Amino acid sequence: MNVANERFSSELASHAHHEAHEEDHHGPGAKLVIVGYGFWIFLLSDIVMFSAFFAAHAVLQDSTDGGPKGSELLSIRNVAYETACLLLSSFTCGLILVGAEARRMAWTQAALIATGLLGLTFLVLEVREFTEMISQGAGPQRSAFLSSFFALVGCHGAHVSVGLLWLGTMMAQLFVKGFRDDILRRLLCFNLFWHMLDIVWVAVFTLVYLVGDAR
Amino acid sequence: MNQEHEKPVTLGVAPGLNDLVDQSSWQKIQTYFIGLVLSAVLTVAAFYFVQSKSIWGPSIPVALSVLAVAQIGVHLAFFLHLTTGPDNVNNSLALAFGTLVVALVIGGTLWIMYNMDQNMPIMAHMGSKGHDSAQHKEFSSAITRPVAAVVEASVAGRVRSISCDVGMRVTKGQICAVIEVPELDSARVKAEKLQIDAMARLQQEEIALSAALDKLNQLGAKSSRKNHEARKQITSIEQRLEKEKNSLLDLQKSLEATNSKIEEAYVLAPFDGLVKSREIKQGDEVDPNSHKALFTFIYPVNQ
Repeated sequence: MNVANERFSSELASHAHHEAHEEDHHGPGAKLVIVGYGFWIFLLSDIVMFSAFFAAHAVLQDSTDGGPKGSELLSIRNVAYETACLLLSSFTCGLILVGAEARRMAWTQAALIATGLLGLTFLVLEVREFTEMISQGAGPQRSAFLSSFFALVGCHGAHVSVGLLWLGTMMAQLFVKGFRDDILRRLLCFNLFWHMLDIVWVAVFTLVYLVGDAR
Repeated sequence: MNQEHEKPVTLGVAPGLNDLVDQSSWQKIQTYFIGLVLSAVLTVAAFYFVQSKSIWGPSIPVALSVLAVAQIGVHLAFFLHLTTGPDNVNNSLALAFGTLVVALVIGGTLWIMYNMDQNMPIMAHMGSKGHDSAQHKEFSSAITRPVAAVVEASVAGRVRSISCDVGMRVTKGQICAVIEVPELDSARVKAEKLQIDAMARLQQEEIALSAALDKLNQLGAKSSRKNHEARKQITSIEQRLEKEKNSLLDLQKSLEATNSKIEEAYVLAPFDGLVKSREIKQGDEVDPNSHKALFTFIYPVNQ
């Protein structure tokens, strides 16, 4: 039996859940573990979907059709800011979980706000980059390379947008309902989701921006 | 603890949770902070390698990939708390399977597409592999400049003949195809016939005029009445002659218009370049309203 998870759930679980908690020993496992595992599987399948976009981009990155290449369009400075935002938000996202485990409302909410603001900054930087490219005539219709670029980076950006909506919802739920078991499970899932986004971003900034610039 | 064997040990830890129970909040934060610092170091290293010229160019992608894999490992270990411990087997197995599928998708795609690329000569010709410096120069200054041109039909008709094929080098203005327009051809035949008729009439009038002038000369000053009649006749002949001349000019203009329309039925190469694609074959019906491409031309990439 794993003590940490027992503690995470049982600490938050009130005495009312004690019976159900006892049954965990005979069932397939604590609900928190099962929910977390299921969401982990979902995230891995999401990464498999991303891999298809990565594969398309790897194949098409030279198909510029005479249009601009990645090294002519992409700003390393901008992507450095974006990366810093997302990496810091991954750290603050970890603090959400630590705060929740310590039942500290102000701390948890502050970490949520910090994560949200960093995510929002990332999104603003990305949207600015996209609009600038499109205004230069380097939109997704220009070449197969740009189609695959916008599909891949845009797909990640869409995930970040959904993550921000989720984050806002979690702040409200946490505020209204407090550290309930179900809220904690959702916080764990959100935490996994956000870390997964940063892992995908590591691949994006490396393969799309840095390798694209080095070519 | 004696129930430990009853619980499936593989479902021990939810992914993302730290399984070291004795840690205080401060220690947990420390774990995240170590992850942050390591990730930051790896990220800065990746950006530094790209910016600086200290690394041999072709090795940069490899170095970047190594740094990325390392950073993903850091994220998994310090942010998602994934371990190789027995209570993490399920999470790690799922991750391993996910990694396998990702490797199959990306590796398989690259392998297959590389082989297809190798086996398509014209595509290989076009695919900018990025090693040709002349091509670099051309493309880097060509954000707005077109390097390919699609030629559409300017008249409706049937393709009579084709003289360009894919991969062929062409010069500007070279005829690549001729479109047959039945109405235009018959219009030209008709206009030519009308012109010949008009010229014949003009000739007749000129003969009549010279005959009338001869007659007038023969008459001399014999009869002023006859003389007067002859002069009147000459004037009317001259008027008719003028009319015929004008109608002949009109006919010539319409013939020229028909001829220039027939020239539009030639499909010409727009610049010195290569034929990238040919979408028509002999006998095809073409129509300018359909905006269908007949040929695509590109600038040669290797010169």
